[in-house]
Amino acid sequence: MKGLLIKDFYNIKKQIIWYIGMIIIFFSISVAVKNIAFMVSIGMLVTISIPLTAIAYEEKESWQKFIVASGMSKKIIVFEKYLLGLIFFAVSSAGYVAVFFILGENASSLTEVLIPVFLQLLILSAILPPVFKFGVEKARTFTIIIVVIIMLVLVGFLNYALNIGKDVEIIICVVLSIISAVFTALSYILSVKIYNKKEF
Amino acid sequence: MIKKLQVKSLFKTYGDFELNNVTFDVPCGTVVGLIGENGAGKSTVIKSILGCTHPDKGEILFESKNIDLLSDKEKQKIAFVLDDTGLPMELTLSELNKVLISIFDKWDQGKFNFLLGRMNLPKDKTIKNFSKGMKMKAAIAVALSYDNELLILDEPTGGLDPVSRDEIIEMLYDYIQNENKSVLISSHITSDLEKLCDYIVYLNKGKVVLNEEKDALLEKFVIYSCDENDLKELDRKKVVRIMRRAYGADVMQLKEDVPERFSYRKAGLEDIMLFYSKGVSL
Repeated sequence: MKGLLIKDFYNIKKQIIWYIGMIIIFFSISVAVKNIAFMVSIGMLVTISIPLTAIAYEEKESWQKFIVASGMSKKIIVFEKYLLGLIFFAVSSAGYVAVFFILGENASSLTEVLIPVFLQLLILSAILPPVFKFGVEKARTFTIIIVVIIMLVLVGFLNYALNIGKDVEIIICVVLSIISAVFTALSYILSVKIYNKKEF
Repeated sequence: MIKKLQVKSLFKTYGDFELNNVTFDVPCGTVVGLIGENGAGKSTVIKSILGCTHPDKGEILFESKNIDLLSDKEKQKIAFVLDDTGLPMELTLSELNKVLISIFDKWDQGKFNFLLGRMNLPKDKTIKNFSKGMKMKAAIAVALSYDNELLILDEPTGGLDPVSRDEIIEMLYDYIQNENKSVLISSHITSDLEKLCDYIVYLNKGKVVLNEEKDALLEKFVIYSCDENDLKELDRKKVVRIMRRAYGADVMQLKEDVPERFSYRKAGLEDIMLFYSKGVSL
């Protein structure tokens, strides 16, 4: 697992540096204009793009064939890509929370911060199984459709959630966090099944 | 003889390609060459052994144990060199060393560094900037830098210049000095295999056509030329394959079956491949 993560960090280090730079820029813009939306948009892009970029490189270089031939457990190979996504999920989420605390509760509600956090996790979990099945290129259309559907549903839900009381807001956030965790776990199980059947 | 690897009745269908009842062994301490033209099924056999593809039927045993039942550590006793290397191209070899030390249980970074020096491979240049020969040498250095007992190579010398090919063959000679180690190497460059192999398995259109000791195989067939009249007089049952020529035909036959009046030459691996793939029965 450690070796796989190190490989990804080396292999896509240029992209990682670029994305981290973008996070810092969008974080600054969000604070300057007092709108968390800038930070949210780049955070989501980073969480989804990093694992997809890593997988695209692996497909191009036949690394997947190499690592399967090395005897590495397929569960670990798949888990590492989720972990890579989760690392940048944590970085992005930390950015949202930081903006939230800097701006104060008057500028944005807790729901406005947490919905994007769940959203990026849901999108990541929805796109990884088809990417493992069809490859990054072939799964691209599917990925875009998934992203749009999940965003529409949750943004619609966000509009509704902004008009509700604090007590309900907390309950909704707890429910969404459970749904996201379960969805991620199911996504991982499905990806492992797909990877076990895959040929390289 | 103890068998390091056994491939038993392997079947696999991909569209109109079929791997049909492929069976052969890699005895301990030997080099087995898997030959055949492009598309004969060599890579499919190798990918099946390495777990990169799933055969429809058949069994593969490593040290008498089904490869599907090997633990992760046991699987690392099988080293490999892929035709496209599979190495991450954006890394330098010193970065790759840091990655592989966490992947291979018995990674020997001292040996890796030694091999890089021996092959004149730069440690701080990204792999994508290597020539094809350098990439292949890097992949071989990786395979030789951890403790393993079977080395599987898929077309390691394809597309390389004679000097690079010779260096690679030298490294394989070094590897097989240890009698417990075995090699399975696929190639369509038969001259490399004639130097290196103890046994030859010839695949044609997904089937094993020949599976024999190399020295015996190279003594087995001969080739001679004859005109149309001679052809009519030949015993059809004893002719293995003929190739039509302007003057008549070239004939491949078992050495002991050749009529006395013909002068012949021994058939090399390339001749055997050519006659089986392009030739016809009489």
